[in-house]
Amino acid sequence: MTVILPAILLAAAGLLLLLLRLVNLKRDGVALGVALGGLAAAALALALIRPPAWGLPYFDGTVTLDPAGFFLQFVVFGATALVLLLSWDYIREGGWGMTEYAALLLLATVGMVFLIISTDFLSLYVGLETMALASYVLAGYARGEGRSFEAAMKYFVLGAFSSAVLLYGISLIYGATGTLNLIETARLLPTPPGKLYLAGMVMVACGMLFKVAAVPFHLWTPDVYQGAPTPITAFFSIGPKAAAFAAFLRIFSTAFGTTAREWSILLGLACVLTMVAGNLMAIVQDNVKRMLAYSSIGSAGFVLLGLLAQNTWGATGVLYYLFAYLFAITGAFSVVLFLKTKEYGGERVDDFRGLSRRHPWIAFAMLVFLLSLIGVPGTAGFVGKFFLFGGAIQGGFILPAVIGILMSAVSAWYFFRLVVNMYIAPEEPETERRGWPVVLAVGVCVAGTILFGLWPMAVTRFLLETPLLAR
Amino acid sequence: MTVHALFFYLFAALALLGAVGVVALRQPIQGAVSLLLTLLSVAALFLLRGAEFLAAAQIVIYAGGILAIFLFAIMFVAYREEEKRRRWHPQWPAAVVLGLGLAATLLAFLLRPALGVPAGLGAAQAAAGGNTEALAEVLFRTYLVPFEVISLFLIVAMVGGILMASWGVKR
Amino acid sequence: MITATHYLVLSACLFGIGAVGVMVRKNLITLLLSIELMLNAVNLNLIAFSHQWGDMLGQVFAIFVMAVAAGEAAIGLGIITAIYRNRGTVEADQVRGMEG
Repeated sequence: MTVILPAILLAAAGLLLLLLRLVNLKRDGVALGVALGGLAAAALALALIRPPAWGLPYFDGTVTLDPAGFFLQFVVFGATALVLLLSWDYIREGGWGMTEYAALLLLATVGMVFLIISTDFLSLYVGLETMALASYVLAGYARGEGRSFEAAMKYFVLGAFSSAVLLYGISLIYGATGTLNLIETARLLPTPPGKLYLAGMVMVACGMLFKVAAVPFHLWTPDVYQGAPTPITAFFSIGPKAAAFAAFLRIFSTAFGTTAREWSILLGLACVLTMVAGNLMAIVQDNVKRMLAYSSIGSAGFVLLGLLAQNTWGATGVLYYLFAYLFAITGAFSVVLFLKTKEYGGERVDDFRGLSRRHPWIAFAMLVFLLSLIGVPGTAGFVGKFFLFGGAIQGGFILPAVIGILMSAVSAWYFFRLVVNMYIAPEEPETERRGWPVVLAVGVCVAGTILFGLWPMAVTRFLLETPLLAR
Repeated sequence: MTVHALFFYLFAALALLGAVGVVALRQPIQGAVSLLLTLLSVAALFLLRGAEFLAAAQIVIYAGGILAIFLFAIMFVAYREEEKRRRWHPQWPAAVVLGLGLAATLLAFLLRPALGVPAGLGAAQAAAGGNTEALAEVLFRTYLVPFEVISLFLIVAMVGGILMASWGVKR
Repeated sequence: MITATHYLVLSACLFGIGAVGVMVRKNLITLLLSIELMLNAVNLNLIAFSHQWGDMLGQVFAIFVMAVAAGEAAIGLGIITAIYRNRGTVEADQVRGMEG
C-alpha cells in the first residue's frame, strides 16, 4: 500500500479537482492550490516511505520501489509542479479554466508514476496509456489556435500507432516466455533467444523509441512541440519522456538484460542517429520551440547512450541527466513563455534580441539553461553527460561516446545564436512582463541547475551506492 | 479437416475480408461496417480458443460500444467530400510496400516459432470453476493495481471527451 | 490441427493491413478504424498464447486492451470532431501540419 501512496494522493487530488468543477467551484487559484498541494503531499509521502529494502515486489510483483523509481518519481513530480506554475498566466489569458487542466495534468502524472514503478508489462502499459491519453487532450488545449488541434491529432495518431506496435511486441514476448512480469521474463527467456522473442523485442524497441522520440521515429516531435501550448510543450519534453525512459531502462536492462548482445546493435544505431539528426536539424530552425524540440530529440540520443552502456555509471547518467534536463528544459521554455507578447511572441529567435538589457536576470537565467543543455562544467547538465559518456566508454561504446561529445559541441553552436541575440544584438522589441509564477519557475530552475551542477554529490552518492533497478 | 479447423478458416477469412474492407472502402461508414465484420469474426475466434468471456466482451464493448462511438462521429462530421477527392495518401505505394514488408517479416519470424503442444485452458479453468471465474482470479488478485489505474484512464477519456466536445467552435 | 501458429499468421496479416491503413488513408476516421484493426490483431495473439501456455494472463491483458481501445476511440474521435468544427474537413492533407 505504501508504495503506491504517492500515486493515490495524486489521483485523489485530481479527482477532487473534478469534483470541484462539478459543484461549480472553479476559481483558478483554488485549482492551482489543490494541484500543488496534491503534488507536495505525494512528494512528502514518497520521501517518508522507508521500504525495508529496495526493489521488493509488491502487489504480486506488479510494482516495486527501487532507487531508480524513487528518484524519477521526484523528477516527474517536479516537472508537473513547474508546468503548473508556467501554465498560470497562459491558461488564465485564454480563459480556459485551470480546474480540468490541472486535473488532467495530475492524472497524467499518476500514469507516469505507474510507468516508472511497474515491473509488469500489463501495469506498465496501463500507466503508459493513462499518461498518453491525458497528453493528447493537453496538446489540444490552446483551442483558439488551429495548430494546437493539429498537434493533438498528430500526437494521437502516432501515439496510438506506436502503442499498437509496442503492444504487439509485448504479446510476442508473452508468447515466448509465458509471463508478463519483467523480472520473470529475464529468468524465463529461452537461450538462445528464439525468433518469437527477437520479433517481439524489436517491436518493443520500436514502440519505446517512438515514445522517447528517437530517430527514426522522431518525425512527430517538432510539429507537436511547436503546435502544443508552450507549458505543455515543456511538460512533454521532460515528464512523459523521463517516465518513458524509466520503462525503457527497466524493460531492456532488467527483462531483456541477458540478450544485450542482440539489442545493443539496434539501440546503438538508433542512439547515434538520434544524436546526430536531432542536433544537426536544430541548427537550421528559426522558431525557438522547434529548435528546442530538435535539441530534445538529440538529448534522447544522449540518454540512450547510458541505456546502451549497461553499467552503473550509464544508469546513473540516465537518471541524473533527466534530473538536470528537468531544470534546463523547463527553464528554457519558461523564458519563452516570459517573452510571449502576442500569439506567437517569444517563439522566434529574433524575439530574444537585446534581452540582456531589458531583463538582465532573465537573460542570465536563459544563459544558464543553455549552458546546462550544452553540458558546460559547473551546470547540472555537465554532471549528467559526464556519467553518460563515462558509462558508455566503460561499456566499450567508444565511438557513440565520441559522436555524443561532438554533437554537444554542435549544440553549443546553435544555442550560441540565442546567446548572441540576447547579449549583443541591438534591437529591442517591446515585451510584456509576465506574472510571478513564471518568474518563480525560472528562479527554481536556475537554482536547481547551478546547485546540482556544483554539488552533485548529494544526489550521486545515493545513486551510485545502491543497485538502481530491481532484479 | 476437423470442424474446429473449418470454423477457424471460415472466420479467419471473414476477419481478413473485413480488414481489407476497412482499408480499401471509400466511405468511413463502409469502413465501420466492414470493421464490424472483423470484430465479430475475431469474437468467434476467441470462442474457438476457449475465451468465452472475452468473446462476449468483444461483442459488447467493441461491436456495441466502440463502433457506436465511431458511427456517432461519422454522422456528426457527415460529408461527401471524399467522393470527389483522392482517397489515398500520395505516397501510398511506398506505404503498401512497407506494410507488406512488415507483415512478411512478421510471418517469417512467426511461422516456425518453437511452440510446444498447447497446454490448453482446461487445468486453469477447472481449478477456478470456469472461464470467467479463472479470469476474475487473475484480474482481481494479481492485476488489482492496473485495474484501479485503468479506471483513472477511463476518467481521463471521459473528461477529455467532454472537454473536446466543447472545443473547435468557430468564433 | 489448428495451432497457435495459425493464429499468429492471421494476426500478423491483420496487423499488417491495419498498419497499411494508417499509412495510406487520408481520412482521419478511417485511420482510427485501422488502429482498431491493429489492436484486434494484438488481442488475437494474446488469446492464442493464453491457450498455448494454459494461463489466464493473455486473456486479462486482452480485457485491458479493449478498455484502452475504448478510451482511445473516445479521445481520437473527440479530436476529429474538434478539427472538423475548426476546419470543416477530416482529410489529413487538408489539415495543416499533418502531411508527414
